[in-house]
Amino acid sequence: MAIDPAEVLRIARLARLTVHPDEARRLAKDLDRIVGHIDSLRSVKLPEGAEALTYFGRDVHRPDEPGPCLPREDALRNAPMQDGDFFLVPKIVDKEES
Amino acid sequence: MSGLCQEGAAALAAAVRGREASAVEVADAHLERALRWNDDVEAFLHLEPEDVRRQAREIDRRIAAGEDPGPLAGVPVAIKDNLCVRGQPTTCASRILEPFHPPYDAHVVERLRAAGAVLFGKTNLDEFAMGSSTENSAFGPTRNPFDLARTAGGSSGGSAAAVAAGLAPLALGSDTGGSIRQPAALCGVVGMKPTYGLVSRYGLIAFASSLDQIGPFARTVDDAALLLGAIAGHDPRDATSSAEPVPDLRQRGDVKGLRIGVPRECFGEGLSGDVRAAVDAALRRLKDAGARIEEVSLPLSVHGIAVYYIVAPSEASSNLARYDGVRYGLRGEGRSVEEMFSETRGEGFGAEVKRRILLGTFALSSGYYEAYYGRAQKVRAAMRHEMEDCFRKVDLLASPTTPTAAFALGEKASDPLAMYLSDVLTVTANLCGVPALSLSCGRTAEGLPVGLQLTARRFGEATLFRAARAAEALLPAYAWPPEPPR
Repeated sequence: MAIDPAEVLRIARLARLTVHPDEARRLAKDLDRIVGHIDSLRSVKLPEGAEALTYFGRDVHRPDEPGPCLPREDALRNAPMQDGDFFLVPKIVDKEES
Repeated sequence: MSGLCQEGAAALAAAVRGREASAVEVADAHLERALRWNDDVEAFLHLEPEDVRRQAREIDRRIAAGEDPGPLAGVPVAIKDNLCVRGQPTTCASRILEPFHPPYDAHVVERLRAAGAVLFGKTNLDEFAMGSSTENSAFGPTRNPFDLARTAGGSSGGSAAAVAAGLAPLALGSDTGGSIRQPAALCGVVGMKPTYGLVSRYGLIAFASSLDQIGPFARTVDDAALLLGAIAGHDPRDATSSAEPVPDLRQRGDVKGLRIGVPRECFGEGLSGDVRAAVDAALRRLKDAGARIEEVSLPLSVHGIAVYYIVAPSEASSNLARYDGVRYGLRGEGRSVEEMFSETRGEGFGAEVKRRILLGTFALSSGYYEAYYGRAQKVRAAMRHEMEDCFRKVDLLASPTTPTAAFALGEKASDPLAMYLSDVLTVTANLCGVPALSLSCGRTAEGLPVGLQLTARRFGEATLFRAARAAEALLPAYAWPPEPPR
């Protein structure tokens, strides 16, 4: 699988990451070499229906009971923009669309 | 050097509890040294003398009142800057978190406070713990105390350098692919990654959640065990935290009859002659002391880096989605919310973090998921079985921790793949969830430390620490780096 600057820009859009065109060229070169290395996994012989390791240990569920949580004031303190009750973000829905 | 800075953690705690030294004296000695050395080694990103002294005064007050503050009474512990300390900067060495002050303590930080430790500043790391040299820190690299032109390793390079230079007797790091053991080896100290699940990750800023573990740095195995003992144990706030009892970390004994497997794959291409010689000499000493050294094979371990560089970036791309400029950290400009997200992340993340987010997004994206992430998880499961089979034949594994001693700053900075390969001997323990410890086993011709890595089965910490203590007694004692030129 070859990775070119157009592919980098496609992935960057998925990752919500602004990447400038000169950066995309450098990243394409790096990622192409790294993917070339990890492609070696194709040569590993695995038995039919081999299991996958997702996590260690047991399946953990806790009772769905309310516990202590951060006071609102503390939760908002680090926000770049907030109004004392909510996090503020740029407009999500345009008037024409609504 | 002040005598107090040469002491280990156990001795300092005993002196403070026995009123032979005050916690304030211990804190001041380390502050004086840390502030003087930090211009050279850049181990600390934040160190507030007044906050350190305030904690130390409180320990002294409790002792004067007849209380016992705990097993780490008055002991300074440096904290890697990806662990949340309430109200203190916690940046992950990233511009994106530069303004962040966590509203809570990590579980390990709560445990340190409860053990009487003095939280001693926040140490440098590669941005979001992604790297092997701290050169990916947005605030500049940490330098190796043994040679300031070389790397202290990474990602927990600041913690390793702080302990090596006597700026703190103990430090916490995190290890996702070798980020405790590799810098420990390069700085000549003890660094240990616990069994996955032994230490709660609550309050550790997530990089790759199925691999991350918090662990200790110290100058002796005993001190590393003391620190691990203080932070290990179940915490319901981390769903992967184990409910198993914490292994006995205090066992002593010799290595007679201990079966130590030496994986032949760890002695392949790329291993420097100096490192091989120091590790071979250490293995001979273990053998002379009665250990049964035998060659073993872990054929799948040669795929460790490939598996790691799919699994870790995939998890990172998901974990780092939270940095969107809404709840904390930096915010970029944007007319729409999506533009704001993208600009925030484009401005806030450094080059290596971007590479890994993109690599992970690629590996998880439609059409590639099965070929990359799915396949990597299957190879990972097979690696785990191979490791478990191996531990049916031997009690421990021994290998070099790193293929080379500390490399020069700048040497690998422009070649990400070469940098990734410096973790070739450490990633297997993370992928298999087993504990591993690095201790210094000698020096290269240039005087640079070499690390010996011991690996045990899951929850095999009792055997691991017992063997590491015995090995330490057979190996050269800790030798201090030269004092800084000024």
